[in-house]
Amino acid sequence: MNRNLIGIILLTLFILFTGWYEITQPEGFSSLTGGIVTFDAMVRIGILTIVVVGLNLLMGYTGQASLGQAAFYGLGAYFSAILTARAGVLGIPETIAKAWWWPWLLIPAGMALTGLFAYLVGRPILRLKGHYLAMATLGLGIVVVILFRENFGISANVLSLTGGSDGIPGIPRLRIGDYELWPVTRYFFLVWGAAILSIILALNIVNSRVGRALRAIHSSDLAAEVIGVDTAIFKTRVFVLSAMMGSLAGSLYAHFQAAVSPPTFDFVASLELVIMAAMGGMTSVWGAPFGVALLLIIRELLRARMHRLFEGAGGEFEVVAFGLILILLMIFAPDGVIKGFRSLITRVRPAAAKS
Amino acid sequence: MSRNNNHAQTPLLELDHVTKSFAGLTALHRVSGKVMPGQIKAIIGPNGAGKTTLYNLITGIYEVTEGDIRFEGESLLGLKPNQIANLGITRTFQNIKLFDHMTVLENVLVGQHNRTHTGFVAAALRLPRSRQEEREAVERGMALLKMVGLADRAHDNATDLPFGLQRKLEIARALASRPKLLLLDEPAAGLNATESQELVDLIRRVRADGVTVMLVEHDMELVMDVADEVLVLDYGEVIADDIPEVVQNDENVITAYLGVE
Repeated sequence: MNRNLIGIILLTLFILFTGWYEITQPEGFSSLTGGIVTFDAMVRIGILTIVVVGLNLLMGYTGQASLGQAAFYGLGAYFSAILTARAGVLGIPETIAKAWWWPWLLIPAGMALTGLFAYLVGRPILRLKGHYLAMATLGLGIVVVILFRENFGISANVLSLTGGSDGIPGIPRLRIGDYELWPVTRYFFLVWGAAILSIILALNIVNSRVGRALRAIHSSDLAAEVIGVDTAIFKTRVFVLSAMMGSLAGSLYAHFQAAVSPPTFDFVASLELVIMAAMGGMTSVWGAPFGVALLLIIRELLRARMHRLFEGAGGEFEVVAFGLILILLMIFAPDGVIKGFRSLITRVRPAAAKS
Repeated sequence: MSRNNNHAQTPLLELDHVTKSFAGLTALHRVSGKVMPGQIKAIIGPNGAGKTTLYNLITGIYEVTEGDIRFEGESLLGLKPNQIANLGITRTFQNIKLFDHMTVLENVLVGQHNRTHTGFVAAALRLPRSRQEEREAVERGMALLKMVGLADRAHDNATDLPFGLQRKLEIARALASRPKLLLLDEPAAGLNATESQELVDLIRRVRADGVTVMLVEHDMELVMDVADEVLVLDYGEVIADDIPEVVQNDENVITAYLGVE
């Protein structure tokens, strides 16, 4: 428990330092990382951390696979985007749509709606196990993105909500009264505040009656059930929770990017979320920010350096190298980088680790 | 415990012509029997006689094909396993099913699931109420571990325990839910003589605490030693149901099961 507290303090200090450095130093935060991690990337890491923490609870702790998590991320993003940027089309009066509190109100509303959606689809599909559940969530993710692309099946001439493949531009920034949470240095703190809060809440859940019930379900559905755990309810609730965290992150993304479009939330995005969770460690809330950061850094490094290693190496080499790194990681750190690092320390200094 | 007394009480568990078929194959055929409160009732029979099937029916893992199972006079049919657990029936498994990646103490805490109430919101916010509940649950869990002699292993990984201790932990986990009826599925399997004796002592202590015990077991010496009554299954049918002395000398049982002839 104490170790978690120290972790939270260190992470908070790091975030404060990052923000302070970006604001006060002319060369900016990215100079500290040799230009690999930009300040924008730091914001993205914060946003995706929220999604991956939810995925951790669902997939890592409860053992329920989800290959469609980006759909919930997308639902939050599109909910915020449509009801702000398309408020006029929907006939929402300007006095409301232009009010500073309107987008803030939409964030919890989107979470509630996405949670309800997850509840309705979760009841039937969470009866499936293993590969079947993976397939069902995969399908769910694909369907949701098609709905975005096809304007929810509504003729665009009647009412254009999603903007089809082009997506929705012109999403406003968040404000508190007249204080705009922009430039990005301001938004950064909001995002990481939400990310750190979700880490804290998730850690609390994991180390509680609820978390133990979830882990028990992962270990043996049957044994959990006969000891009195209503496995169906707990699976549904953690699914809903992870969906709501996805939705929160989606709303934050929409106001950060100021535009949304379908590819951000498609199957590849869902898969990347799973990879991030696996890299950080499936059963490790702390792994989430590291997993997200690692994936983004590796991709950025490959993009920037690959052509220097191999002359004329193009995008396809990046993908090959990326796959190779993934395989190596799964072989040498199957429980994620955090636990992998810890076991490395234990191996090198067994005495020190024990004390 | 005399049998005459039992007739005055309502049975804790009543099997009423229970039949279970799997795709036409009858695993249990019109099985009837009673478990009286405070009793240690053994279920014996050769492999494949339907003992574990019976447990799976009582705990709601399988659905009864025909007949009825009543607990404290109420039918258990149609209830989910977790609902049956909440009524006060818990069990252990023949092939131990401890929660791996969880400590010994955490296993016993999951056992207290139905006695505690913290939900997602209270847990996430660590409300004072849920912290209090957690403290009490840990206290009770440690007391239980002390009783079965596992207190010093509380923070070890459950599946790192030696086999005999894993059996004890599984019983402790079941007891943590404060059951009225505890179903043990071959608890002595794989135990050495000392561990078996400790198990007998534990079963007696559990009964002394007011828990009724059902016992599926192959170790006849242990069964005859500890059980008040023995129900004998053979090919899915009851061939005897009486006190150990009578069952031991029953012609049918001797031919069908003990095979002394």
